[in-house]
Amino acid sequence: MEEIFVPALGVSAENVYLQKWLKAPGDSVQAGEAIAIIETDKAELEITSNTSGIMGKQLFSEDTDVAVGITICVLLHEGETEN
Amino acid sequence: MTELNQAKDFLSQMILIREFETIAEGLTLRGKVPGGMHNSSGQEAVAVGVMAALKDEDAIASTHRSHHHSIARGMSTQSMMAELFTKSTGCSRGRGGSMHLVDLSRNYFGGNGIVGAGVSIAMGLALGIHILKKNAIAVGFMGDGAINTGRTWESINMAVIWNLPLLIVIDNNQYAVETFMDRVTGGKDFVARAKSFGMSAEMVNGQNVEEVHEATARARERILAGQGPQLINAVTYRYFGHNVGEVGKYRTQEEISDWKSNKDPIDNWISHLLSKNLITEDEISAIRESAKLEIIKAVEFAEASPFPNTDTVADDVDSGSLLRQL
Amino acid sequence: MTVVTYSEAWRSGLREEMNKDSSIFVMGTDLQERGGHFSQVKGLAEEFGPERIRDTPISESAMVAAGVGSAMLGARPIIDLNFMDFSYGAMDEIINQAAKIRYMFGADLPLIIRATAGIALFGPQHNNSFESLFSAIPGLSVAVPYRPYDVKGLLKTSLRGSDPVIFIMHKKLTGAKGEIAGEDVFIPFGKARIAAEGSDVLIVTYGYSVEVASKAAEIMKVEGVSVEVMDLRTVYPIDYEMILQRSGEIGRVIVADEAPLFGSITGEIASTISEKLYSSLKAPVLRIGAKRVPIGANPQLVNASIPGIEDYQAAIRKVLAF
Repeated sequence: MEEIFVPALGVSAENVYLQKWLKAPGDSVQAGEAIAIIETDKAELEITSNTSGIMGKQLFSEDTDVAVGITICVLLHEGETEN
Repeated sequence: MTELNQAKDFLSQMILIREFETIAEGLTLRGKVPGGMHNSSGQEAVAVGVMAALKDEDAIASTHRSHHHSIARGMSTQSMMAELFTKSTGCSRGRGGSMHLVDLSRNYFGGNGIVGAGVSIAMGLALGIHILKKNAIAVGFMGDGAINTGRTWESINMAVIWNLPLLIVIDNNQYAVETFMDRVTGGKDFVARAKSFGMSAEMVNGQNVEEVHEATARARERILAGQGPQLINAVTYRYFGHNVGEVGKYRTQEEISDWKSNKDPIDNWISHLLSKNLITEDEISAIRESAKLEIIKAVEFAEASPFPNTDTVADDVDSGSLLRQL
Repeated sequence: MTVVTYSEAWRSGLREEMNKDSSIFVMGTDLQERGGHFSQVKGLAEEFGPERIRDTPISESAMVAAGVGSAMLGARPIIDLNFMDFSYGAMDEIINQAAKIRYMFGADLPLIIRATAGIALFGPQHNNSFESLFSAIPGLSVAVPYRPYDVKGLLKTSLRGSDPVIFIMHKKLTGAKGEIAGEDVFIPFGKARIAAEGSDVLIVTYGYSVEVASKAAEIMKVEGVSVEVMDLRTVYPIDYEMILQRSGEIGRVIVADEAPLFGSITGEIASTISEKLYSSLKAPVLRIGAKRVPIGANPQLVNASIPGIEDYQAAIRKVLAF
């Protein structure tokens, strides 16, 4: 399982804006693929998955502020299930 | 030829650096490192090779990307990690952060956020060594970015005219933030520039720890024999961006993969040691385990440590020494 | 007591301390032969040799960096920039390195940067004011002596300290004569002195302005006005204890210098006096300063830019009129 989280990107903000999910739970994801778009005070950024798998639970809905460093979803690898 | 224990030491240190940087990178993305950090993964051999040729009395000043230098100089990974977290137990009491690690007890006079400041302060350390008649050298690290900074050349010139015991090591990962060195360096040849100022200089393969070590040892000898300040241009590569969280498109995936797959300093040193039967796979595993454990402990220490008490914010700006009526 | 010039006072203090402490050395351009551009180290190269009185190339940035590094290692360097206007080429080394070493690294930094400043001739680039610039940097201490006595005393304190000092000496005072003390007299930073006693109006000032204020005070005595002139001696730290005590006692205060009024350190001092003594002052705190102009080459323009005795007289009359 990979926990995908909001990266701390250097200088200011403690929160960023989760604009949009690009994958829904159950969708298949390739390593390096974008799964969500966030907005920092500087720019729009894609959050990508490091590994391949199936999108699991998403912990926040679109159009919400999320804290930097927080896990926003999990990516399930082959044979894994949610618990 | 590197002696056996030292050969294994090289490996342990490089693996420890790689583990520290890998874990610290993840923690930075999680928001644990205020202000972020500059990852030195890929540049381990330069740090380890240079430090192994230095003595305790030698004085060192470094750059903003200095975790590998700090670890290779023997700094405590706990004190370093705590400083990254800006805790009060960090080596710089939470005031320096990743760019300003320091250990005066190891004559390590700090990382520096200003390009070229490491070599210019090291030139000052060399002058201090000369004035105070110490039997030592000073080492200043710089990156390829500092090759075009004025203060670098003022300092090189001063070191040459005063014959200061200074070794400059260019920890050359070829990119100054996002800019490839050839695009912005008139004449392109770093070694030729240094030579034109009267400084002895050579280029080495920064991914070969033995080559770096031997070049440093030779340079140190020359300096102590009075042959003048020296410069080593160690060509290396950084695997991550300039700083953590960089969204960089200035290098190709092919280029990064090529360096990681074919020129990795740790992999190369392991191949070398295995091919000469100087180490076993079990020993290598043990080294990796030990590095993991050490970094886990460092993170635990950092997590458990307190942040600086805000009542101390104005401490140590000035010692008050000038207010005394003598 | 011996009577020497302002410049000789520097030399006297330096020689005494260099004889006691072999880690003290001086770096700057044209020091060995010429003795520096203000004769400040004349003859010392013969006495102490070229290792300790070091001629440098014109490389302000490297000069200060050399000072920072060698001071961190335990030496006591003095960087002599000749003109303080040349410090602009070493601003990173002074502000980002020297001033912050202790805070970042916990290390002593016994570094002195001496240079001559003050408004006179030589045109726009050789006539900058540095007091508000350097006093505003946490970690730096700034000396602005008027008398030879204070040049020597403040230098000796600096050379026994562990903190970086910006030592500003005024161009027009180079040849001014005054008494100096012997080997055992040290002047601490943050202690002002009364240059002229008075009771009707207080002028708080420093450097060459002490001369101008004192002349104005002499003239006003004839008109029956008693003017006190306070010489700060250092602009960081500032002797607020003495300033507030005498301001409270006298009640009418003028803070004066020759830097452009906008952004001058007189603003810091005047606002502090106002804040602390608001209800007990007899008049608002007034300030004297220069016009907001670079200093031109033409001498009449220079005089038109900076405050003269008449400006001090006008301010004294104005503060009395409240």
